[in-house]
Amino acid sequence: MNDFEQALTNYFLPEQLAKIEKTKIGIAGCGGLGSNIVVCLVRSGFKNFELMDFDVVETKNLNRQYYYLDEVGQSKVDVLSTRLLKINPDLKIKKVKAQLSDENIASYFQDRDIIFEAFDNVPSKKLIMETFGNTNKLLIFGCGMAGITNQSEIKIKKIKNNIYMVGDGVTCVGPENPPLAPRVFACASLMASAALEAVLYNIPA
Amino acid sequence: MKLIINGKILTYPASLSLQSYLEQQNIDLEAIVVEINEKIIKRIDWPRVNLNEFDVVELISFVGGG
Repeated sequence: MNDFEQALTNYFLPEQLAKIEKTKIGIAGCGGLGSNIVVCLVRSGFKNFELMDFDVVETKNLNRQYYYLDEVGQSKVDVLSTRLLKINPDLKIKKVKAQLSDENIASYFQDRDIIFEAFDNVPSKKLIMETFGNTNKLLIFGCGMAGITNQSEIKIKKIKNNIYMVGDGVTCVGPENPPLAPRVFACASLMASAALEAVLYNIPA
Repeated sequence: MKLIINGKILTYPASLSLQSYLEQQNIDLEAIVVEINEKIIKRIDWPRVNLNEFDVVELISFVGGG
């Protein structure tokens, strides 16, 4: 047990940490949601990850994604892995630099207990739900976190036993509702929170 | 036939495919996933799935951003 993991025993019981550590997490998309979700999860003791993103860091990402200016042009999955290992050096990370499609989805996330859908586009979100929705994996989707105002509240909605949708459900990214750090972080944090609760309270049963 | 759609009980003619039901609704079919009786129905299967009395149908809408 490294110093970081030792320090987590201030907050979790040994049996809780054991549950957290053995949970296999998939992060589908390492942008505004994914890059922030995974940091929350690592800080909460999760250790086993499959990180998927085909993209490199761009300057326009830096308003909300967990990357730095001197990382522009580098693979998001590489940069994020390095960063996470600075929090906990004993993580197991499977890096996937690929774009998800109908044809290749069967190759990914098969052994994961929880999949976070953190893509920006609707077809990829649907692909995750249609592919894994009838399995016993826990699926956590981001849905509606753009914009400035909080007229629509970001919250966790349980769709069925193994599916959660987190967001306001309505605010699509567009010219009037740009993706901005405050609401994106709020959504990412609640997605991570839903997973932590599910793992520690055995959901789905 | 009565169907429970997104929590509301609605009456429809008997013998209705999921595809024809969805096409009659004013919704963006590209932005939804359909669940019937807690089972996700893939889009490719919509035409051959028939709706039956008291089916519980959930139309799950997605919006972009992430």
